[in-house]
Amino acid sequence: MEKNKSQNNNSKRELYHEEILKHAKIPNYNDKLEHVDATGYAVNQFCGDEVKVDLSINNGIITDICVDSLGCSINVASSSLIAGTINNVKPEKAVSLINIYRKLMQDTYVSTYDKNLLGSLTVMESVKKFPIRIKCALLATQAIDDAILQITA
Amino acid sequence: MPVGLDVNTIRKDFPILNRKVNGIELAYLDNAATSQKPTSVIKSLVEYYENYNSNVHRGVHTLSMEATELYEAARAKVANFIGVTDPNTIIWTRNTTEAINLVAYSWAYENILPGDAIVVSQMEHHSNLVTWQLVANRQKADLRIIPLTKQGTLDMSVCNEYIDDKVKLVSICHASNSLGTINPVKEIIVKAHNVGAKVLLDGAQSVPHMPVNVVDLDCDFLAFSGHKMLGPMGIGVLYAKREILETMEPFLRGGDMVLEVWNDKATWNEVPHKFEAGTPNVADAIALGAAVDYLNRIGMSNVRSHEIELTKYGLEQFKQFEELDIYGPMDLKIRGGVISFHSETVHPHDIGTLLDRAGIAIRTGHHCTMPLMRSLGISATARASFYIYNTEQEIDRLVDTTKQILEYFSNGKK
Repeated sequence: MEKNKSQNNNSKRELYHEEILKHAKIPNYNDKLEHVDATGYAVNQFCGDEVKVDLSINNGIITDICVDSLGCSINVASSSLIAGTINNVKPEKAVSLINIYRKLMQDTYVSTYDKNLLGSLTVMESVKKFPIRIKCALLATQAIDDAILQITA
Repeated sequence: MPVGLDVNTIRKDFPILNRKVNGIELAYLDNAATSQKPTSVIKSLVEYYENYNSNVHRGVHTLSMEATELYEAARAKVANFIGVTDPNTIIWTRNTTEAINLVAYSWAYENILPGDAIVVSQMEHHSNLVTWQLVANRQKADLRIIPLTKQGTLDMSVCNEYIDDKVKLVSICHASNSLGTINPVKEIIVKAHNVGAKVLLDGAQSVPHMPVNVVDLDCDFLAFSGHKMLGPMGIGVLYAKREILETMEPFLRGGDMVLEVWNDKATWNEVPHKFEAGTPNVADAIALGAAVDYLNRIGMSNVRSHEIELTKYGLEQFKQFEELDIYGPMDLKIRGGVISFHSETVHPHDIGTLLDRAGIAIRTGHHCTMPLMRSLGISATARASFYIYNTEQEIDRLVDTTKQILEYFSNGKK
């Protein structure tokens, strides 16, 4: 039983990187925006988790984001971290950063240079040990794609 | 533990219970999704393919005759299991979903007309809701959904109101997969029959877990799945009263369901073959017969008593978690072996993943009851569900690990 307990605690640490836990408890970028230029939405039909994203665009740059994510800690934390990564960049740049993040999570080769561009978002890599949960870490990317499509279309 | 059920002996019959998950002995608490299979069922599949494999009906060679005999004997076993003497009232399907769809296509489109009504409840599995949404839309009929009380039981006053003379069908789950609620179906059947409506029972969560006698219940249709009652996946059952089956149109068209075929027309084979087009799932039907044998040896009353004991124990243990909402009625007489819970602070998927790390398998999500989840104001629950091989020790592990998970998340809040 003791052995079980320690194993169990280890596995919790493995899954929930401290940074993920932090962002799951108190996510950033969840204040309503005064001025919304684009809105995106994504839902995971299997579990019902949802992400809604609002973007403010000024002079061709994403200047503010509101992410409203409903669901598990991995969804909430990744939404918060992704928002941090794409704030204050051009929408095209945001799309390329999101694509790097997707590659990282889907185990495609990502150069160190590219990886560094993601900043603290790379902590999400710890979720890769649990393939079933990767989709939770990617839900927000769909919502952001959806929003950016409205600007670029 | 009831005298009639020796869990330790039972556990030895289930090879999968020996395996480890993440280095820890498996505690399988996801039985509402599917049950595990005893050696006798697994052996029955192997034996069929090693000794009897051939196509059934019309074959004049030995293997075909033997396979047909075993296949039809399994039908008789299943009939007997739900209290009917006529095996031809048992139609093989793939699962409960297909059985419900069979009733929709072969009965409902002929019998539900514009202005009529269908009654379901707020706790239906998608298979018993979406099917009727479609029928109601196409036939311009009304779909009435019985709401639930705070305890997770049917609001019977609304139910009484809904079952009026416009209603042609009441299609309702006998037991809820998400809440565990056992519905007062006998009472509902009497009401429905009084207004001339037929009743379909979704027995997916009742037939595996308690004695179900269709003659006593007097239901018109009963749908259930083999894989939730120790049988293999891919075999399910529709029971219907003989006189209704005789009036129904075929479901799928093809081989075996016809009597005579001309270039421009065909006549139908007799019941039940009329509803079973194409080469059937012979091996799985026979193995479901083996599962029925196994359950009969244990006795369905013993199965039910064991699950009541486990649920009582589990609910008692879960009381310590003030932060958890536990769904479904607390009266064990109207509750199956399901404990569905939800935390405001820890999402069910996080609970599910962390329990899995401790070797405990439960279900998390909407359990194919999205409208029910919406009515509860949540998107998902964590659900533990029990069967004959589960023990109080496994519930202890569930409770202890859940406790650790909740503590872990609340500590992390600092």
